[in-house]
Amino acid sequence: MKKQFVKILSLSALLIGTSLIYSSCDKDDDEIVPDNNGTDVVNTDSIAKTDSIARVDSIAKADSIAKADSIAKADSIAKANSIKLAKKVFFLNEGSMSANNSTLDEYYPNGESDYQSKIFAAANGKGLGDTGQDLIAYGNRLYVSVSGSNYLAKLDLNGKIVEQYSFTATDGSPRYLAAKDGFIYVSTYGGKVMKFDTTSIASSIGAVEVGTRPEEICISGNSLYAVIAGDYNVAYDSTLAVVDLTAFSLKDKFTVAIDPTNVLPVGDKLYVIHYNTTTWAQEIMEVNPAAKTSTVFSDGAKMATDGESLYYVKSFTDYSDYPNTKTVTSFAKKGSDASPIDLTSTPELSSSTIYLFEIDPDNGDFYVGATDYVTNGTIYRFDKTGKFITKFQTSGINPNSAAFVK
Amino acid sequence: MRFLTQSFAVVAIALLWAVPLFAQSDSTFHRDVEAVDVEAHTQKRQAVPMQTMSAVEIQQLGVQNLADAVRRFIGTNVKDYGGVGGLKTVSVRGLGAAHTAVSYDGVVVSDCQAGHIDIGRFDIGSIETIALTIGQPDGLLQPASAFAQASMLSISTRKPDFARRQTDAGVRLKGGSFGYFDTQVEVARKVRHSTLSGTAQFMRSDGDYRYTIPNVDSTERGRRDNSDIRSARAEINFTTADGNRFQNHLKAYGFYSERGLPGSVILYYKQAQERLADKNFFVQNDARLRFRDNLMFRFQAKYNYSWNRYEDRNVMYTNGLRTDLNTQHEGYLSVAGLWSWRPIDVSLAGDMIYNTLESNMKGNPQPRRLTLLSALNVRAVWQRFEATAILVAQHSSEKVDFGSRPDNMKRLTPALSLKWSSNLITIRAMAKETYRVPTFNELYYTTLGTTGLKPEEARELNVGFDLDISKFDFSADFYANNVDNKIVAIPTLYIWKMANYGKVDILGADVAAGTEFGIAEARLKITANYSYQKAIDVTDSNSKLYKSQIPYTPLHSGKAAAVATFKKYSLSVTSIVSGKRYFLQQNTPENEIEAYIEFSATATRRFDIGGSQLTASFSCLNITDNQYSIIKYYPMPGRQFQLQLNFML
Repeated sequence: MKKQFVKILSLSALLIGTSLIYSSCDKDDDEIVPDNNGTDVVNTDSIAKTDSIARVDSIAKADSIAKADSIAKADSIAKANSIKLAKKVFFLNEGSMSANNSTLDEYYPNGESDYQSKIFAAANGKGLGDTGQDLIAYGNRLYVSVSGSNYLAKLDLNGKIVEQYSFTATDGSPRYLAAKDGFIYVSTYGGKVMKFDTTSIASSIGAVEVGTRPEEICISGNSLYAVIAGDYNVAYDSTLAVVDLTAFSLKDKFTVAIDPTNVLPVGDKLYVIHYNTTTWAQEIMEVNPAAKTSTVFSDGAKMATDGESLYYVKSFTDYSDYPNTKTVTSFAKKGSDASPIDLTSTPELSSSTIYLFEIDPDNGDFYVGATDYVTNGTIYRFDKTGKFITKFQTSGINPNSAAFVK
Repeated sequence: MRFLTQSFAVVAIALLWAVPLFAQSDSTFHRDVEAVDVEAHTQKRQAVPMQTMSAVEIQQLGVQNLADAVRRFIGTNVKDYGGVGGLKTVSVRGLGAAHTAVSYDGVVVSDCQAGHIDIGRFDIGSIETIALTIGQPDGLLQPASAFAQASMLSISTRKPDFARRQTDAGVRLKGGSFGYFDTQVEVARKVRHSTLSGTAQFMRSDGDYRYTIPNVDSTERGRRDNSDIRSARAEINFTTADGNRFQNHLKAYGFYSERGLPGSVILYYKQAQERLADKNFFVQNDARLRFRDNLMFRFQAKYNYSWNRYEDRNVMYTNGLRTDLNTQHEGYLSVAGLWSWRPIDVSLAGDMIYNTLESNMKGNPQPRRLTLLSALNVRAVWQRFEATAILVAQHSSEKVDFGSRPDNMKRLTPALSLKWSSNLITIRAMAKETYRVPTFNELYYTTLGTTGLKPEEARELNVGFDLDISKFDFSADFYANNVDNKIVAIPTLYIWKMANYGKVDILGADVAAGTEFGIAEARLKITANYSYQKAIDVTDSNSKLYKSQIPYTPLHSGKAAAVATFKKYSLSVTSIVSGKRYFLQQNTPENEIEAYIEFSATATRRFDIGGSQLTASFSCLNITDNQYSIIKYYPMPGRQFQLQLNFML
């Protein structure tokens, strides 16, 4: 049974190796476009009549009534208004492996309300589950993939489950999300990209085999790109799979770099983060999908875009005083020598491990999530000029993705 | 550190020369001479904290397995992943499981890959005595490896009883909830000075117990899945004794098990597909020779083979299957000598241990490790006062097929214990420094392992006393421990790496009381203990974790037991209480594991059939059906029943 220990170690390593976290692949250009599809709401109502959802519904209702009672009236009115008007940023905390401690938080960047912790638990009366992997906002709904608990959930903007899909053993665990034209795409450890219609995610409407262990996916034009990491126990993969969204079939596959984990489109280029499996340093590759070429762009561990430029996090660990290792972190913008973020107010970030790096598509604010893997995360917010605005604690370990809702 | 080492050396030398001038009392030599199983000494009146449990107590208390026995000792922290097949390791006084040595019939058991020993695999039914000593073992004539760790759990198996006839035989049957069935057959034959005995055992369990765990405002109900186990064990023992002049114990042991690993409960999804198969075979010999009245030698030799296969089925693996194979070999030789010049006893022991690991794990360099250990013990007795000084030297070197290997590790570690005793009271003090070398996993595990690791150091200080007033006994021990260069996984550059990074300070108190009284043939024995343990992380004063209680360590815990016996009947009620703990490093409410209290009861009746004896016990475990867990999301079984029949010819 010592294998169990071995396995915990192995899974820890694997966790870090693979759940490399965050979703800076900006999901999609349409992400913030409100869903004009009225059937979404209608459909939700009909599904809410099924037993399980109805139960959740009634629990949530009882809760919200109880909650409303205890909150001062003025507060609840203010909150009711803010729900309609306020801009919100949702943060997904991944938690730690096999600990069922993934949580969802809500932040009001314009100050209409305080930071709301664990909104999923508050809205549903139960926890989000194990290893929240990715979060996107699409059509006035949130979509969250929970990798350990093996499901995809569609949530309203209070975090309440509208609908969900549980992945089967053949599907494999869900990983990353992307959305376009009323469809949600999910990469799974079954080697697939699965497709869901936002009107009902209760069942999948298609799947494409892309390769062993796809990680992050993103959409550019009419193509979906998935990085293929491979089975680390046997052989790493190093390809990028291209899925044609019209036919929803595998169009192409070409080599980018060994053990790729993340992909992000900026302009007509794609940027792919991969592990150098010899040095275990992370590198960003610049990929020209038209020419199927790939060149080393920089070392880098996280990336994000404001829609125009590539921003990234460089991070390396200094082993010279081993075992007192020191992590050095800096921020960069492609084509600029200056740091896009002024770290003078937050010097601790320059030695932090960055787990979340996202840009508000609306105003260009930077959100940087730092982790130590064992304590609740810290989010730092900077404006688009890089000026520090605020920092706050999340309700869980490893904040890994943010979703922005206007 | 160096100062400490030197101080001990000075004290040891001073004692060596000074004590004979005053000493008059008997030496302790007889302790080693008379007791082949020094581990079986009574727990009272030792220079170091020692607790024991006998076969009779195990049966009367309805103890389930070795982990269940050990968690009834004070100062222990058993990590139990639940169920018959769940991993069970023991950490003593906050030092971590890898600092606890386990010996089986006198020879130390090791696992260089994982570092800790899964005590769940030892069969409780074959045990004569379990002893846990904190600090060094009491007997001086021990292999050096017995002195090299911070605490030692000694398991002694049952010796055949030839009081009535030359052949001893027994059958044991056990059955219980969740498909548990266990049977064992023992046969022993005595020929002149020698005994040949054989034991065969088979055990199975489905382990599919129900559990409920809280989930925010709701409750998750489920049934443990994939937690079945089957195991078989066979042992052959050949012992020869010629009075106190010569004793030899040759043992061959074979074990096989195949089990499911249920994993932690994952909300909303059942995925347990992992299987683990284990094979273990060893042959060991333990010989004691006595020359004259003041010279004894002990020779030990062992060859150990252990193999395991871990399998997981998931679409994420190539062909849907992952298989990990690990094989370890160990060769072990030990020579120890004990000389007695009243009132001083000196023992010197030298061990040579060779370990290998073969693994199909990617990047595993097939490491081989040679460890040389020697221990010098000096014990002086002067009237009611006894002092023991120990110096352990350890050297280990490694070879690998490729890649880097750690530097050779050498360390000299001292220990000192003092005791003063009268009929009423025994007062003791102990200081000990030990270290453990990094495990093969810590050194070589793909991406995680780091060959730059240094040994992890543990220091123990203990003062305590035993009070013995007619039918009442009381003991209290106060300790201060620390762990330095603790080997922990730390994230660097998005990859976890093992590093000598942690520091833990531990302060604690163990208090135990017991009383026994009787009228005519009725007896009542009540024991209770309480443990306080503050084990805090003092690695980095700038960290959010600074001074946080380390995971899985309750501040308060306690155990109590009452056993009533009347003629052939006995009835026991036991209870284990644990305060809240944290399952992750940060001491936040969401990382808490709830406090629990567990009650069990066992009724036993003995039947005399001719010259033979049948003992029947019925146990109800976790009477209140408390849904608790020791390891977060590894729920423990609820209420369960067990029936045991033990027939001895």
